Amino acid sequence: MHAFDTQTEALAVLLKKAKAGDALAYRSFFERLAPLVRGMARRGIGRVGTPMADLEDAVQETLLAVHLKRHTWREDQPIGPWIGAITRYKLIDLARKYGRRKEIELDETFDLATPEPEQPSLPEREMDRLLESVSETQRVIVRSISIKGVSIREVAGTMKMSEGAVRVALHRALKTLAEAYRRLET
Amino acid sequence: MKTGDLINALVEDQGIKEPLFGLRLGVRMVAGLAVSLVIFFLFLGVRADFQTAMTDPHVVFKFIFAASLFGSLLPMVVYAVRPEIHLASLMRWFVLPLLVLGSGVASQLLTSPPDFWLSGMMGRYPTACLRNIPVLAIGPLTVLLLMLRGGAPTQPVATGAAAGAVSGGLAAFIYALHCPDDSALFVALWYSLAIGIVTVIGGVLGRYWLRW
Repeated sequence: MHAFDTQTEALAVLLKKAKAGDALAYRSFFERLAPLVRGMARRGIGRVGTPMADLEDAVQETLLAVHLKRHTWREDQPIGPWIGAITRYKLIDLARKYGRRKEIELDETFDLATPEPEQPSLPEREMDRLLESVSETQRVIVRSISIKGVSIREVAGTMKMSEGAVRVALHRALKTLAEAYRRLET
Repeated sequence: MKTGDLINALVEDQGIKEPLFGLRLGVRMVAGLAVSLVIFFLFLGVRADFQTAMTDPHVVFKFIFAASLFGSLLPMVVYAVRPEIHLASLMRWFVLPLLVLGSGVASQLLTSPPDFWLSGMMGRYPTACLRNIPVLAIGPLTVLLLMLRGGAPTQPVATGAAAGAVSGGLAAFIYALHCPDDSALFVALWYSLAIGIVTVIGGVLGRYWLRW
């Protein structure tokens, strides 16, 4: 319990710093968050009974949602329930894809999550398929920045675009990805 | 794409600031309200006997009922932008407009003879009420749904419905400036029905618009 309190406390501190513009803090926020979300998602998927092969997709969708909705966390509120609610919402999305609508009983006890590292050598992720739904330029930008780890400045140089334009394209691409995932549902 | 790769992209995207929807809400609400007021003054207008009518407590009751509905459910809409909020915990405020409605109806029943109950309830313009309140709610409902789209509501249908009820309450307040049917029984039936229509529309729109 105490270990968990310090975990979430650290997340809160990091996200606060990140919102103030600290990119390093934002990176360690996600690096700490991902294993916790993974632990929670494994429990959630296990409870709903859908294939565990979706685990990492669920983690990625949750992290993307946390990113796009980070302005809805109020800094004077505990961060655990906020993350728990987003994770749960994304797991319900996932369950819907399998037609499990009513019977999902998920809790938001994020504090019971057992941190879990990413499994190495996984098959192609849903996110890669979803990338087909964004424009060619956006796809190149997202791929360069994510998979190749290139900075925005370098991408702007190679693509002969302004940094601002690359930023906007990246942001739009991420929003489109989140939307495309939602549309996968029946 | 590995999760670490995705994190690279998320971290690079952090420079863009999302708009403060709390701050923008006020401005947008005024814009939504302005749409309703333009429609109101173009097509309806304030009733001619407004000043004398306001001496009748049952006319004043219409405004109190509409305002209590708006005021009691607005927090639900504002809080719904946060994913961890359970709307059910805010539903208790809904008893306020119900109490107002109940006391208005009781007062009407006590002060008017039974022969007038039915005619009072049916009023003169029930269909106008059913049409005008939803029309006047369009502006505010649009504004609220747009605001909610920027947030993270985890109960899309309930959130949309709450936005519908709030907009219906605001629309009812404006419509009461015009409406010549003054019986609390009319309000209990037709205003509630009209606000109910907006609530259902809000819920349906919420189901499609408020997912993220």
